Amino acid sequence: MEDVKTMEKKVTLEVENLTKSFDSKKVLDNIFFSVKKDEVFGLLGPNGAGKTTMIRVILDILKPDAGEIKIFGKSFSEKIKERIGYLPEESGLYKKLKVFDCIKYFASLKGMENIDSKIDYWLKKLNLQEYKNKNVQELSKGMQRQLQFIISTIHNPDILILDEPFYGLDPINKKLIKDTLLELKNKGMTIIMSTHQMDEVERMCDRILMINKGRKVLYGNLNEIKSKHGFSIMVEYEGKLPKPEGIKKANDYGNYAELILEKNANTQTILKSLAEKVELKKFEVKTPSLNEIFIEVVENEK
Amino acid sequence: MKNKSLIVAKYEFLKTVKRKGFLFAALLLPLLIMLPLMFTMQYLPSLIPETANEKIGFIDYAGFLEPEQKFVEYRDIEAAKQALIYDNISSFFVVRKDYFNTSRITIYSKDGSFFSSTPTKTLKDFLMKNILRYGNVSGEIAEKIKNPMAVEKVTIDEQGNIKEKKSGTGGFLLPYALAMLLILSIMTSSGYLMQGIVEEKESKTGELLLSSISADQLLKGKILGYGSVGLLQIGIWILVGLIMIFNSPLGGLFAGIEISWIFGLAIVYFILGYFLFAVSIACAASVSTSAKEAQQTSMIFTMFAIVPMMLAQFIIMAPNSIVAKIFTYFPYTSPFITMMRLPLVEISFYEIALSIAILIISIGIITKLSGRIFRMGMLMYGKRASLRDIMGFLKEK
Repeated sequence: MEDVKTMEKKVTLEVENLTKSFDSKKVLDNIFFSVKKDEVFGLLGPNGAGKTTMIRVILDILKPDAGEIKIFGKSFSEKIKERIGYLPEESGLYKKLKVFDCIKYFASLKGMENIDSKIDYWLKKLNLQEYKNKNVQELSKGMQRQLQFIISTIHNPDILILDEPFYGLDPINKKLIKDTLLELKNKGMTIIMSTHQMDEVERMCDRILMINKGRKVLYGNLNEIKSKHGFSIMVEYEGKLPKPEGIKKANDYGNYAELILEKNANTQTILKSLAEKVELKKFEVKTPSLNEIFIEVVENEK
Repeated sequence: MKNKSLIVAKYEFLKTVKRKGFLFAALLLPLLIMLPLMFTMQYLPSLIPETANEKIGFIDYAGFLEPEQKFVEYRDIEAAKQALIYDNISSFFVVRKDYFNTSRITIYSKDGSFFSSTPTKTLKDFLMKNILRYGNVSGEIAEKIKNPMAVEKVTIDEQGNIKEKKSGTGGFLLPYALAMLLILSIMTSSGYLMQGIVEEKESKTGELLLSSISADQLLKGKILGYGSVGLLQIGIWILVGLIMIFNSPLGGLFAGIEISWIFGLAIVYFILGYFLFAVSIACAASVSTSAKEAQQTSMIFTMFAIVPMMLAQFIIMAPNSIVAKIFTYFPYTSPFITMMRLPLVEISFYEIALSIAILIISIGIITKLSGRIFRMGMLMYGKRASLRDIMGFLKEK
């Protein structure tokens, strides 16, 4: 009993050798990873990589061909569904239902009862209080996304799985959701986030799993992954940018560039040769952006 | 933990019965049909001129008619014409001298009036009564000649056992009405279910629902919810129908008929039939993207419900034919055909048990297959599943 509790504390989700095919096409190929308690875990990959299938298999909506999934150290059961929150990519809601009734119905399917005050709390928190008795179809796209977010979290799940959570949100509501997510994380919620918005992943995720064509291509701590991919230099300049030795790839945007360095490149030499040709406004050595790593990994796979 | 299927059923039930469309179909429609009917039955006789009390004149050149309260004799056509013009009589007829050779009579009535035309049956009865009296036939024999038979048909099998019996009009009408009601209720409930699933697909809520509830629970909840809607609707229709029947002359047709066991079987067949059609139609709806598409796809199943209606006349004429028997065992037609045959023939216990067993086994198999198609179909948005897709769904665990 003690062991199970300790395990639940450390690892929330464990996926081993997961394989799933549709017809003869392998959508997930021998994937394994784990997600720890109260971490924000990024699930990345280009379109059609198998992310949604992976989430559906985790949620037991689809059955895997092979492999094992353990949630809180146990195999999947219907009861476990009540401890998981899910925000799907598709904005699926009952348009003719009132906002309040819509939340209440989905919450009841998660085993929640007498939650009127809780619904009020969440509507107020996400500035939707005035829409409580309006039909869902009267809400803007962004508001509907917020409503879906409430539905996914109202039952205070232990794991929250979000598929493109910021899709359709304006910057203010995006920040509101982000702050709420961090608040939930601090309260002990495990968050798994699938998105294409790499900047958000960099800001929020502790660890990531990147899949491409159903296969695992990157997995682990975000900082470690970034440092493994060497360093890059951000430069702001005026003039015509040369390509000094030690630069593997340059993303030149005219007066701003990201230069990916080769493994043993000397940053001092590069700085010197750049300063000779252009007027430098800014020179910053940093780990490559996740966006850059993403593009590099996916292109190498082609 | 509350039963999640029941939560879905309650939600779907309340959502549907609150709709204007349902309220119209369930409450207003029967009232719109029944009220004029009741009104007609109740008040039409009073609107029609009392033909029973109206007098008919006659001129008898053959010399065998005896006047009575309703029939007044006139000397000649002129006198009768005057009586007709002044509305003393509604019509009159002339019996010719050669009547016993030719049977010819001439009826005179006023122009254009539908109600005042001479009731020929009354006239026939009057003539027959007088002919019999003229021929010295006694009252009792005369009655027999008028109504020579009261039929009860009995057929026996090769061992001499009684096999078939036909009862009166009411005994046939009621189970026949039940069979039709069964078709109507099953199709209505399945129709609501189909609409509900298509709406679910259009709102793209499948994925969110399946993250909280299994596909089987969801399907069960929907079937239960919409089945209850259908039952409520049919219940209202039956209630309105019964009130109407027993408050009208039609009530007499059903007097003294033992119907409890037929009702019992009807309920069993409703539940099984509805379940079979519901599961099949749910499956068809889940692979469609619109109501129109769903209707097209589910046509294959609704056709089975039309077959018994098309075969009704044949089944009534030959309730023990091989065709009737085959359709009693075929799961998609057995509820309706059995209901049709029940009042006409003695269907053995084994025959009914076998048809119910086949129905239950079919439901088991189709539920298993449909469950897979439904789960995958609910996740498919904006695209109709091809046959290849569906075969793929069936392979899913």
